[in-house]
Amino acid sequence: MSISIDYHLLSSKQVFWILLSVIISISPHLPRLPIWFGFLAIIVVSSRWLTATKKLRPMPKLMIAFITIMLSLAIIYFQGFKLNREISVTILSTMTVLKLLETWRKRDAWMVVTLCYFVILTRFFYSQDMLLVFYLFISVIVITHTLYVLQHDNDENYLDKHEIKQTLGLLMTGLPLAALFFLFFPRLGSPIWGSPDFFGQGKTGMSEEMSPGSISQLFNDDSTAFRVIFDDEIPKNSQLYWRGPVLWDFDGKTWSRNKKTRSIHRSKSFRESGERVSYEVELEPTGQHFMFALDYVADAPTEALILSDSQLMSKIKINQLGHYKATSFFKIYNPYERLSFDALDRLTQLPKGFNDKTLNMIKQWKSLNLSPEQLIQKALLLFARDEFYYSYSPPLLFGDTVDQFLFETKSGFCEHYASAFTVMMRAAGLPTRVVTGYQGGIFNKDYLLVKQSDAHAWSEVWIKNKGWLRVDPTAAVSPERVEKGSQALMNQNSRSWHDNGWSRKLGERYDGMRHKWNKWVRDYNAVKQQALFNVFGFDSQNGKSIAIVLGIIMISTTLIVLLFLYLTRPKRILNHYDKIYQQFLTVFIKKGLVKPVDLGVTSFAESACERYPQAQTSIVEFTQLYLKLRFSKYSKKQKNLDKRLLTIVSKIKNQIGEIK
Amino acid sequence: MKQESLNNEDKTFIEKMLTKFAPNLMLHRKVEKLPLTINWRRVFILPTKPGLFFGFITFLMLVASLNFNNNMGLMMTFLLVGLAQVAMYRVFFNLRNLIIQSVSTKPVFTGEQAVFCIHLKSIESKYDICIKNKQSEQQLIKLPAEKIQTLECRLMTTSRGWITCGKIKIHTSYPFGLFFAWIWTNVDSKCLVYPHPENSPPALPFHAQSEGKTNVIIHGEEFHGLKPFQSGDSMRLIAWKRTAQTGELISREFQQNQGEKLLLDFSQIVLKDTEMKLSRLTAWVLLAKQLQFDYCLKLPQFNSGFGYSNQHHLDCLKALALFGKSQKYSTDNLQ
Repeated sequence: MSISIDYHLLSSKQVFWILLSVIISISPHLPRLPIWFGFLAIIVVSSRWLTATKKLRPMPKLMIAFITIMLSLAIIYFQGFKLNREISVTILSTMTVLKLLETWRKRDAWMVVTLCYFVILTRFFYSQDMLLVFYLFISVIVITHTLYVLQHDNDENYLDKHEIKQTLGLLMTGLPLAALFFLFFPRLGSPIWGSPDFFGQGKTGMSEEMSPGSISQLFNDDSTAFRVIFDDEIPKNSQLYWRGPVLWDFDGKTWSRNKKTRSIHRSKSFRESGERVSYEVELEPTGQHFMFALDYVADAPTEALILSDSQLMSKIKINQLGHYKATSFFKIYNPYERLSFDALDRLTQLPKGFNDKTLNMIKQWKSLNLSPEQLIQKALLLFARDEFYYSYSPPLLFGDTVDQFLFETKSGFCEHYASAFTVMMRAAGLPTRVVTGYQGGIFNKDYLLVKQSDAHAWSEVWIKNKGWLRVDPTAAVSPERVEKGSQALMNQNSRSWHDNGWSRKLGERYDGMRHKWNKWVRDYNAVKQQALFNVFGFDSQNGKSIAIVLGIIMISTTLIVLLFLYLTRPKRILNHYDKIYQQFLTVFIKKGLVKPVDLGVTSFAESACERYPQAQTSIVEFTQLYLKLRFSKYSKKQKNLDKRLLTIVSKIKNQIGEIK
Repeated sequence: MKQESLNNEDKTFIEKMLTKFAPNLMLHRKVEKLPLTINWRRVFILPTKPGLFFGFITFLMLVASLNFNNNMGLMMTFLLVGLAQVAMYRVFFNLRNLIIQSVSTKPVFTGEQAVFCIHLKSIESKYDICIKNKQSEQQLIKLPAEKIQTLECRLMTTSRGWITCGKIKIHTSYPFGLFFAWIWTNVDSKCLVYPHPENSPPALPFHAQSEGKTNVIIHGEEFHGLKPFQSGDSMRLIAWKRTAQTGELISREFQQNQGEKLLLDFSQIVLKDTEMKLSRLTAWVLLAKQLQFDYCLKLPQFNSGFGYSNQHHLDCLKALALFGKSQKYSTDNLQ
């Protein structure tokens, strides 16, 4: 038995809304999905639309099955056969789009539209940015309205204002429950299933390697790296060295971390006195392990480790917004680190056969028999005097990068200076390493905003018996970079046509909003919930009290919804006249004249007149007045007429009564 | 009597409450008088299949968001939960206070579909109201406030007499199709069903009382011809010789000048089955009406007298429909 399907069970308006929901739910995924997916979506959506408008024949079932199998194979071929976020999202989106090809009945349509909600949800596993919340609302409105259109098949106007108003009204009524559930629904401390890495994202920001151009690239990125709230006074800009990956090894072009020696301290406790600064960092997800703290970090947060090179490391990948507290000292020398002979040896290594010119120059300097501090001064003076320029778009370097930079181009960004300086010091026999991180930040009302464009690199030199000394060669070339931050450079010459103080201010204001958003919404968690429960005197760990709270929410929102629906119901203003008319009718009922339900008002008046000719004028007057008041708009002036109606009724009563 | 009162005393509290509230709870209701306003107490709500799927997806979203502590996801999930809650109450409000104003019908012949026009009204706008009985379902897209709209309920008729629409279900899934609200009611409705008119009835039984203009083949004295035997033809009319030749029953036809006055007498029809008799009479009444004859229908305990008006016609058909049945309608002829 073959079942023939009616391909036009869904009206074109319904198909329009279904397609709109699918488009709106998959489009935020498009940049992450394979390229073929975009083409597939365009073809499927347009073919479904053409079928709905009867310009194209429906695709045969076999063809749909063939396409589905081919695409499944394509996904496996291009993305592998693992269960991870990318593949899950690709499969979900592909199947949702393909389902459109066989969505002929309402049942299928409902399924596709409901799936769209889930597709939207998966977008939040990539990012929970504030702007997305607007997208969330718009897409939920569109998808919900599609449900409405599917149910209420009134094919008049695709964008019927009345219908959209209905959907909006109902969604708004659902908001109180959504908000209260958001606050009170119990959260999980840790995931039950799957590691947070399942939804890990691509690495962003600072990387664990540095080559010429890697930091100047970040200079063009105005997105937020992290935000800091200081407990007390905010330090000077020149003190704000946010320590990130420490780079030990150099291969002639690229600096990289020392991965072999990973002796780890759980935490450090310092008894030394000195200027301490405590602060809280809100770190945007990086997809990496690095955490940033001011040089030199004294107390590590519990979720972090301090590596032997004073670098903060998270135990898990930072895929979600992270918060941690840290305390730092402002000291010229870092006195806490002890170096092994191995490490000392490693820190003076240079790749052989590179940068001969530089090595020769240092040989000359060494013959002057200077102290390490004097050597450092000499190198910095070289940068300060010798026509060096600080530029975020320096010429590209090849081969002997340090030679080229020092003797030819003489123009570079912080990574060029840090790299050249470190090579020079190592050539002079001083153990030196490169430290990357951020420098400075912008005070954005109540917090310090550190952007990717604040990325920086500097050097550390080991001075015997004293410890690590931070040397920032960039400060020698461009003191304002360190004094005033990267902002100063941007003001000197803008990075692109749309880069000016005004647009940056706008970006900072937006980040201020995002900071609040993070604080109140995005980072609302079990701990904050506990605090909220405590305010109301409940124990958030007690299942009974949670059940009570949720029950109260359900009941109270029910009341709110019922009240809302009751208040917004169309009111029966004309009720009053119906009562008067009822009085009019009872006069006749008493005499045995009953008005049949299906008889009109005028027709009844006629039959009443026939029976009681003596009351004809009154009946006619009453009927006319009643119809006028009942079916015209109510206004205050007509109150006299209400009384008039009643007097006519009593008049009729007398007139009819007389005869019997 | 004694037993009844005893039973009453024995009833527990629950039973008493049941008898008190049963009319609202029971699916098999008594016949309800119109106009009927739908009370909120009798409205049932359950999720629909799409609603269950919606719930399933929402649950998945909740689990995923909770597991990965994704606050935006949770926000969206709870928004959907809120939406479902509102949809549930809205669907209820869409049915509450609906007024079944009246039910109108037109008489039909047995074997035809009886159409019950159910007139609905409401003081507020309603949407997507469906009326369903065992055999039909019809949807009303919009019922504007204070206006009467009509939905049809169809029922196949199998026997004559009064029939009622029976139990009907009024339901709606407005606004999102996630929930389904319904009520059962047995509204006061009746439709008159005439007997099924015989398909090819024999000619009208004329009685020579006045001269007619046209010749119609009826039982007369003047031999006219032969025709195949038809049930109801008198045995005396059978042409036995001819029948023996052909092997088929053949009856003789006699012609007579037609009289305008027709007497359709139940007792003169030579058929065993009452229903078949009524069926033939119905066919004759229809034919007589069509040919505009003056006719009289005679049934045991009914005599219409001679007439040709519309009212006379309807009276005759009604008498045929209700022959041997009580004037009250009953539900036993429901399928």
